[in-house]
Amino acid sequence: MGNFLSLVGVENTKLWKRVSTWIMPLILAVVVIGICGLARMQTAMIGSGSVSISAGQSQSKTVSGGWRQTLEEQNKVMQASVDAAEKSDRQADKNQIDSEKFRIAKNQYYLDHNQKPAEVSDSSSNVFGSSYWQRVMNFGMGFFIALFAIIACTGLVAGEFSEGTMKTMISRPFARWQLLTAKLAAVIGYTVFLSVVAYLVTLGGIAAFFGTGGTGTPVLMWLGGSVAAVPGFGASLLTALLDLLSTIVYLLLAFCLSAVSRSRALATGLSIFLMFGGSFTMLIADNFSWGKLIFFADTAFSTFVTGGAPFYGITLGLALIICGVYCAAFLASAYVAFTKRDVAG
Amino acid sequence: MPEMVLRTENLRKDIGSKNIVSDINLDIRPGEVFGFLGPNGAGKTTTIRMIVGLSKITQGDIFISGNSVRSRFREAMRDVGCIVENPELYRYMSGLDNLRMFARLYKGVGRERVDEVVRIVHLEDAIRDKVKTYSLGMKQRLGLAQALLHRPRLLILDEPTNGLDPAGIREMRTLFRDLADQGAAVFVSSHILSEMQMMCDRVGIINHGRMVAVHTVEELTSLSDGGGVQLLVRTGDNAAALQCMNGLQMKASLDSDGVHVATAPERVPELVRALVGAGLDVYAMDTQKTRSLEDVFMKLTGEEKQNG
Repeated sequence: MGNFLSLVGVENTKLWKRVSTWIMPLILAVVVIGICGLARMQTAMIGSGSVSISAGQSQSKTVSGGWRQTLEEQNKVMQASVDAAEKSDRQADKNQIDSEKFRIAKNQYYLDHNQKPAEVSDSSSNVFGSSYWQRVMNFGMGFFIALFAIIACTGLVAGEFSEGTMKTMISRPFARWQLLTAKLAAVIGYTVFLSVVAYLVTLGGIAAFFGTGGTGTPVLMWLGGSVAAVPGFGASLLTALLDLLSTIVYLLLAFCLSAVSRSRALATGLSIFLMFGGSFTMLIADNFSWGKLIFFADTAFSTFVTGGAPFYGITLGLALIICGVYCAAFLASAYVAFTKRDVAG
Repeated sequence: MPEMVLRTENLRKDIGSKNIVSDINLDIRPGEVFGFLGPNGAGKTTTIRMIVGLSKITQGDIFISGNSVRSRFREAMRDVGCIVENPELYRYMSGLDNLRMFARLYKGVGRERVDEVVRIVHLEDAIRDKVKTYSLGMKQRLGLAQALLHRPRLLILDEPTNGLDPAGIREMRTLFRDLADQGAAVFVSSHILSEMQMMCDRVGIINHGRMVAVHTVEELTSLSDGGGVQLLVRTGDNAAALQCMNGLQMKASLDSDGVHVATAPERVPELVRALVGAGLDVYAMDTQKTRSLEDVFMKLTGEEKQNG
């Protein structure tokens, strides 16, 4: 009997001998840098139109009452709309409740700590946010990572059927479930690798184009219904981790479709279609409470901690559980299809 | 009695409600080259696919070195090297990368062994090229190399001579003999009888999903004689020779390569005298084993047809 770790090594060899495996992280890095550069240009254009902002900023400490008043007024308006929504019977009215609550709590945090929120008026504020870590967190590459992870996954699982090489792997001193598990380990490893590449390039790209200003500013996160000031590095890691989990949900969907359909074209196409099309289930979840049971609506895990629940009746824990149940079903059908069915020539 | 390298017991495969093969009982001994012979669609590949784990066994069981393919699959597969149908290898990798990768699946198969099998299949010149540049014959060689890597006790090859040139086929024959001499068993399927006859010690004939007969090649040859011989006669005037044979009441036919004649062995001198007496120049008289084996094969599978 062979050694399972060497089987994972073999799957990694298959993965990394493909040129596309090297090209995808490269594209990822280029896209990150490119978007950073574009955003920088955009910020520069807006900035040149209002040169006087820096002068206004130096005055802001003296007229500190101004921003406090703004926040208090904002909170009153938002609280009123939250109260109205709570009484409403319609799901659609209630969808904003959690994110409004988060904004109220954030404002309250600023008021309590007598700290002027950077979002209100700050020259360093731009499309990605006001501080270094805020920008890093708002820079989502989740879609690209998921796309590339799906391509790698369908290549390694369905591709072996499409290219006929699967039969060369079956007659080896390994059980079929071991073959599939080794493939799963390899593609999850690759997804983590892509996420790490994206994260590191984002750290570097943001620093290069926007500087590292505000590195010490903690990030306000919405954790379990209360605001928490989390150190920037920790906050960005948490967001990246949650984004990775979202990617893995789609990866497992692609994994399942690959093992069941055995066609690389079908598995890739359908996975990507569902990843796009799945966002339409948000509309269902916005209007019907059972909509959350369609997992596509729940996969934006990081939104829960950076902006509040995307719709009414969902929490991060519930979203993770629903997606977890789906993932278990994906894996179960993948293993059953892979171990029970004959491998054609 | 030595332990059988491969043993199948009442093997049966159904796909849906359709029976593909049934009651396949085979015993392959160490040190023999076994030919698995049958027309296209007879169930050769289906049987092989069950042996190597590609297809589930509907009924019965397979033992490789005593390990059941059903319950001890991993142990059974340790002793198997195989090519089923076309050898499919990773096209985007070089031949060498393919072999090194497969080597990692087994304990104790190192780089020296990889280099050794490359020499055995004579692929030294192309081994660093990508597999997608290989010809069918080169792919066959590479497929054979990956099957030999872990020195399997049972080598299973489905139509191994596809795409090989005559020199390659001869090399393969020699290789099989060497492997068998070292104690391995070689299980070769084919629908080409003459190949089997030259390669194999024993031949199992399958038709319509059932074993028709298992014989040594000598047994088959003697069966085919049926008390008679088949001769290919080449003379200065084949048409005249045919007339002459017809005159002797012998079954003869004119073909492009000469006159084929079937007769009893004791009548051969009579035929020679007749030809010489007719003033014909006799250039050759060859006994035709292949042709007669084909007759046996047709008879065996034909009989089965009538019974079934």
